[in-house]
Amino acid sequence: MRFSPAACIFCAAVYSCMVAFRQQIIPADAVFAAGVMLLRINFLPEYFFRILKLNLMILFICATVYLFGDDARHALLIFLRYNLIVCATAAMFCGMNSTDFYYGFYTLRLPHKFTVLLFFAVKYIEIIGNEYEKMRNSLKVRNFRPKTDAFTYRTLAYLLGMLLVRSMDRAQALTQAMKMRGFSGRLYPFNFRPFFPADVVAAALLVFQFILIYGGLV
Amino acid sequence: MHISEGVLSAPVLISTGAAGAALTVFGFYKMKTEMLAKTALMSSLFFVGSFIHIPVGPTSVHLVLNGLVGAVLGVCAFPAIMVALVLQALMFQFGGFTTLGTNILVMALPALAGYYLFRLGMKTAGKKRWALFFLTGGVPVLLSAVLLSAVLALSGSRLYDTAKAIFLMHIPVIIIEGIVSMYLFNFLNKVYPDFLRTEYEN
Repeated sequence: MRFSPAACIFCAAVYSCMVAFRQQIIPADAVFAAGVMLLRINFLPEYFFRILKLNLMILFICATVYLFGDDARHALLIFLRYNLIVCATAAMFCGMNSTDFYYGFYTLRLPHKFTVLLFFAVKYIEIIGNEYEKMRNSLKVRNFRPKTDAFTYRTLAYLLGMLLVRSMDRAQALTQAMKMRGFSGRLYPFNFRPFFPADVVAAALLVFQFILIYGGLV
Repeated sequence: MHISEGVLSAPVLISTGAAGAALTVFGFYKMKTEMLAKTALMSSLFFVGSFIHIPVGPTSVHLVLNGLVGAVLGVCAFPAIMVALVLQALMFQFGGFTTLGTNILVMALPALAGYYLFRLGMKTAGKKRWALFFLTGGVPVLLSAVLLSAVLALSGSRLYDTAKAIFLMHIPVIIIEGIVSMYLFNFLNKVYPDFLRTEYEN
């Protein structure tokens, strides 16, 4: 099933707030996360491995709480809260790209300054990413092997500097091109990401989750 | 450096979230339209910086770059870092919605120290300038590590040792970031001095 970016952002934000402040996790808290994961079962390998990787850091935190803080219950609470939120968000957002998020925030009517900055940042990430790839490749063909020494740190600092210089030139060209087309700090996108029928299912799941937690049903 | 969802207590999340949100709104208010391209560029560099791994002995660390963002943008570092954190949270689930304000506070507030240290560095010369450029990169990461440990420790006594461990883990990053920044600012100052000008506030 496919969700629209706006619905994903809204549902994920609300669900995160619902779970992050819980002092005790019960099976009913997992309804939304499990439902979304089931609805996105076709992306299972993608989000499953991402969740596994993300768990490395939280396992470290939980282990220190358990071993040094001597509180197994709190370690488990952190682990469950984190995993519920990550399972829901990873399942909802996998398969989306940064442009989708721009349209999502635009649809949610967030302030123009934020959405325009996000739009430019998304464009520049692509530019910087490509420039960085080119420069890393040029270092590789010159047999550069990073080590723990001043030469490596200086080379990487110069790489970062050149990345900034070249990206700034490209960024200024893009800004000038947009200004020539009448840009005055606001964008008017015409290529929206529409709402999908699956969004209704996600919204219903979220409402059900809300009733379960705050309605006193469990 | 990101604080994950579900770790912090509610009072810490709410208070740091409100402070982070207020500072970001102030940053947006101060950001001129002409400053948009530079802010977005630094935001994307902050985003890409997390993929630049630098070897330290048998392991590697990634750059935080909040000192660089602060030095170039000043108070506009808040919106720049906020946008990068939003994208990281959505694309990779690093951080999250409830910890967004806390993460902004932890990473963007120390960026202001980078701004002042860099201005100071530009007024000096020789070895003193190199030392201040080192501090421009290192001090914001040090302050971020301190803030990160503080919010963890404030979330309950059970997290004291986690806070200590996380602070110790950041020591190599502080040194590496300082060394890289020292070379980087010197390079930018020679190659593209206009980039480091700060005529951006309303």
